[in-house]
Amino acid sequence: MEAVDRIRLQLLLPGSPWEWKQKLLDVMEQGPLGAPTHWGEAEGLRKPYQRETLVRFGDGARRGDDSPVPVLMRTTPPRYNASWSMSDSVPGWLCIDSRMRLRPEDPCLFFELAKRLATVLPVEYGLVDIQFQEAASELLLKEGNLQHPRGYVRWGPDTLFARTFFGPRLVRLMGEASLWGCGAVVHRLDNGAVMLDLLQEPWLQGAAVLKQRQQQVFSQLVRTGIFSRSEAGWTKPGERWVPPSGAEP
Amino acid sequence: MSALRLGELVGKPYGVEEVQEFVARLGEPVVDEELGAPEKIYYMFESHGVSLVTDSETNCIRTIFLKAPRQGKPGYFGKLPGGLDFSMTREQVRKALREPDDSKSYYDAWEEGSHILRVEYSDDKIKMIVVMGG
Repeated sequence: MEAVDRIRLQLLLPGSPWEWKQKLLDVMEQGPLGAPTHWGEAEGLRKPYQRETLVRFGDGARRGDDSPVPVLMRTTPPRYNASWSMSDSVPGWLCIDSRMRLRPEDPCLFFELAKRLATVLPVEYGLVDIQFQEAASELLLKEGNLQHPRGYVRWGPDTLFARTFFGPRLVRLMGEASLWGCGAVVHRLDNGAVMLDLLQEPWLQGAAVLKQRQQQVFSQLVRTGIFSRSEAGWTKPGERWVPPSGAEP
Repeated sequence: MSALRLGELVGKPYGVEEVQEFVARLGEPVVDEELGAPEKIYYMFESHGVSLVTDSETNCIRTIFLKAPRQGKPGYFGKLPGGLDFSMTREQVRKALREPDDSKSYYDAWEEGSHILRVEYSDDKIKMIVVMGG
């Protein structure tokens, strides 16, 4: 089994994740990764985690373009950094990143966390990206990048990841049958979102297997017309792409 | 101040007593609020090989850079975290601390709870020690 170097989760939501802060913090505190040990008003700042203090800060934070981006951290294994948008712009985003001290049993926990968050939050689109140590850069699922929220609005989602979430709106837009017939491992979550794994237990697969599978499944789903595409070097929206309501391109 | 407590300055406001005690012996800094990203303020004590980066909103410390003396430029003269010494090789650093939690060709990093300690190398010698929050 190839050792995992980094795991990242990203969820796009119809607003700031802070609108659902109780659910978010409940999952972070009681979920499979264990409670955060620290929080900060911004990346790079650390204070011992206290939910009340974080909530007081978050509730009092500005909600415009210059909103702070708070962080939650766990500094003991499984280690993670979580950050989210506080502004009112659509889509809001939540990112969780882990790249130090990953133990063999940890990747599974991050995939489980992503599932729980995507079940309790009104996910629009989401992903779990996994990177393996020593893997060649051409085997990265999206060149090591996540989904850019503004690009998502303008052009649609770019690709599939080890685990990809499609919210109910996207599922309708894609046509549900396309998801069930694409050859991936597909589950419906309680809130109507669909969770698509490229393979069973993707964290156990190597970089080359995942990359190959990504290409196979994407060749099926690209027909839905929601994914961004490239024309003469320019990114264009998918032919059937419809941005989420309230989003400004 | 004990060098071992340096990591505890991460997250503290620049103006608090512990931070002021640390910077008092470093002289007047060059303060740059425009260098790099606008959400950061840089306090640079060039003659002592030290830079502090704070959050522009809260002025709390995000990162402390301790530079080794190189090419005629002065370096940090105080005690280094973990009993490290700028003359150490990468192997000696790992022996003094423990196997790193993260490593790339040019650095090793350790999660220390209140901070991350990162040691950057050049020609197998310590080039810089970075104490950071994330």
